[in-house]
Amino acid sequence: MPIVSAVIYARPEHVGPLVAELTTDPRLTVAAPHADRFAMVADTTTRAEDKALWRGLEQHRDILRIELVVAQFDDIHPQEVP
Amino acid sequence: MTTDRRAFLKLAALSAATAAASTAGASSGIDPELAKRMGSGVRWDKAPCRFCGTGCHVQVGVQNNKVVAVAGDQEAPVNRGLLCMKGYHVGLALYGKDRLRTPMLRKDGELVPISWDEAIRVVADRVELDPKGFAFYGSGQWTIPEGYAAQKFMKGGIASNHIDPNARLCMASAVTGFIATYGVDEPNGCYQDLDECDVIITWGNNPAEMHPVLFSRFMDRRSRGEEITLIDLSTRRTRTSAHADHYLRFNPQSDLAIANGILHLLVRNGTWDKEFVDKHCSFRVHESDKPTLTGEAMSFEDWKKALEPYTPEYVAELSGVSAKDIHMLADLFGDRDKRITSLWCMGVNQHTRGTAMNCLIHAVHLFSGHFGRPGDNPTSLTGQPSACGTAREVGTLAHALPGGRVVANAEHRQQSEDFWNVPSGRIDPKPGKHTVAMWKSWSTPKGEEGGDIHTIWVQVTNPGQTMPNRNLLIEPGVKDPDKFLICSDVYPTATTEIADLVLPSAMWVEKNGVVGNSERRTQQWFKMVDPPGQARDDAWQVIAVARELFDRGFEGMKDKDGKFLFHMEQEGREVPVWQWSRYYEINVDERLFEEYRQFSRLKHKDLAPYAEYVKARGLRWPVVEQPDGTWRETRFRFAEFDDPYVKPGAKHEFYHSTTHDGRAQVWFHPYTPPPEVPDEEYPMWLCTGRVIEHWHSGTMTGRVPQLRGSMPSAYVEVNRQDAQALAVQNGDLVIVESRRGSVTVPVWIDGRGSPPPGTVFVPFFDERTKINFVTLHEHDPFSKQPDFKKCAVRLRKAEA
Repeated sequence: MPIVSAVIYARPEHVGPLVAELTTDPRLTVAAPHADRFAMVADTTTRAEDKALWRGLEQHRDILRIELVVAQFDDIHPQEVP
Repeated sequence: MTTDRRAFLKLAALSAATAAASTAGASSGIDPELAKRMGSGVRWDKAPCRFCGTGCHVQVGVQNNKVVAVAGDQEAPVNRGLLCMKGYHVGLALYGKDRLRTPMLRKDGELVPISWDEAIRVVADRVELDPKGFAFYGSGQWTIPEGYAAQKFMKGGIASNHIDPNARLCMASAVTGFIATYGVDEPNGCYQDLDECDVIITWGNNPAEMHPVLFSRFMDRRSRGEEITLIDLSTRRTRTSAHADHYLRFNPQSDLAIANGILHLLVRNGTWDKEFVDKHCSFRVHESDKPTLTGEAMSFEDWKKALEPYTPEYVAELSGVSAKDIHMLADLFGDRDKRITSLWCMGVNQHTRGTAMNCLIHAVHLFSGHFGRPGDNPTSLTGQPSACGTAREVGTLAHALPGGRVVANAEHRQQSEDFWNVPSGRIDPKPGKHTVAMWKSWSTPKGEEGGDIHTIWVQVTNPGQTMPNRNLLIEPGVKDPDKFLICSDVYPTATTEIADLVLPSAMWVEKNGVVGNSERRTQQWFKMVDPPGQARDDAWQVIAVARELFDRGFEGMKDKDGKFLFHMEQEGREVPVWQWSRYYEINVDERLFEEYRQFSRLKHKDLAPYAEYVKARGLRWPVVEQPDGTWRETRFRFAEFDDPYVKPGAKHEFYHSTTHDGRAQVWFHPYTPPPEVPDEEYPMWLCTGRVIEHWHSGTMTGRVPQLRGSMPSAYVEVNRQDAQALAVQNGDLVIVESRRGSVTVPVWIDGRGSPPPGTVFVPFFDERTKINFVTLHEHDPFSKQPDFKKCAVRLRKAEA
């Protein structure tokens, strides 16, 4: 059950729409933006889901860069226990 | 995993990311509403940030009696949800591992734990030893009630005026500048100026690092496409310079010449505001013998004549700023369609001509008519969170009384004695020793001339690190067994290191508080968590000592009716607030504030009832009750459109004018060289100051891993050309040496700041590198504020 937070750098002209879009995803909690960047935390059920989520974000047209800040993998979902 | 723990982990992760986002400058914090939706179980309440004088409001998240999160307060007009990196980490400043938790007394050279009862008795013994030799050294970081309690204890109780705050090192020249110009302290404008100006001039000021939220406030306008011109006048290139349209580097001390050059051209070009000056200004100069703060009248013709030498060419020669740029500045001030805001802080205040330079900035604005409109004002910034509220308004200065009163005035003394219900004649008419004099006296052996101060009680400040020329002002006293130092603080510091008695204090949201920021905004918060161990409120410490003295029969701690000086009742019965277990039975802060509030009306600095500040994110004084019972704050003083004390039809009125005619004073102050200039032996200028990561001496920010990690130690900024001459590279250790002392620091070339050849800069936050062994204690003759910005040093490479 990963919890991962990051600073998202967006295309300056698309910060507002991007925040609005990401806010609709229940797995994401998005802080208010400042200039072209904002903080975000993702709460997913499995590592696979977490990986897919961040891969999708990396490919998002309005996201220029993602700086990972915290990755919390301590509590592994039972399905993932080897 | 419980839902709460998961929510907490998410909040912590988001906090860290928000902090990371903030390192690029100011940032939005976590929205408390967002945190609530995350179901964290965290309880949120408002408080102003603990650190600088900007007065940002934060939302403080508390869980299990611990501050677990801090967010920018979206409802705060000052910061609108933004925080700087210090503000974002303010909660962590409470939780350094080495918080002081128990009183300690030095015995056989070692600090050993003692009880609070013993500690209080020791302080009372020192007072009784010789009340007139007992001094209090406080702070612009005292809350208003704390400063008021100390003020009343000293001037109304001990009958000694030897109380002074560290604001003497910070804002004293701004105070004397305001009083000499307007007859009353503190800015006429407010932060709204930053939203409405066309031009910002920073006079020796680096808000990009020192007031980053305010800097963001006007830089955001530029990012939104608004045209705003930033002119940075500075002795070294800073982060502010990097954003400036015009970076005008001037030689140290020559800011006086630049201001005179602008005034000279306004006269020569006929572009001064004749109507404003005719109606609202007089001209002033110091008396030739025994100059005073109020000076003497000067005719306009004589004033113009005095400015004649300050041609652009002469000013360029003195300052290093080109004649063309002096013309550019004068042309800006000559254009009344533009709205110009001047910002200044320590570069102007920590100056042996600080009063003069403050007066000259006001003079440029008044003479050019750039005054009194939103965005068009001289706006002095404050360093500390309550330098205005506590040091200036409560008047914890050696010459002052609350509410703009002074001890030398018999009527003012009587008013204070009446409010305090103490016998007439209790307050000493002679001003006490100001900071430098107080420490010099303490450092002079008993029995020698001037060595009469035997004990100093320090609260909320760290003079062991921040006093200039420390070898002269502090070290000798340590060796004298007759001298005694009491220090109330939250962490071990350079001052507790040399103290004889150390008292552990509560800090920030571990106690109730009220402070006053740069723009006359009074801000309140409630205690949210308990202090660690036996740490206790500074105001309680004062009241407890006062009560010990009262119980011993010390007359000064009784009022006219024989009651305790800090007598507080609830439902007709006295509450023994001197007992720590009973201190929070009532809101002592509110009681002290309401008593103090009576003084505020004496000089049109009216404060609202405490309850109004509970509801608000601060209110700017004068706060005046309206017919419907609401309370209205004042954004712009001396302007009819906003200030309730300006007579209808006057447009502008300086109702505390020193000439009693409603006029402000436009001063003439000549340029004079500084007391110490580089020479063959010490060929470089030294400038000292702060950095964005640390607050003052780093006592609190040094305990925050993120801030300490970002800026772990002091350095010396050296120009590349000088570094080559010294054959040093980045990281090499050099000795920075003056006639007074030396420090060893690593070199930083072309780092955050960039000094010109012949100038170096060293920050003062690092307790391991006390740059104040090197600085000069020469001070302004009126404000008594020392100059930390310029002295002569030499550099040599340290042996490996």
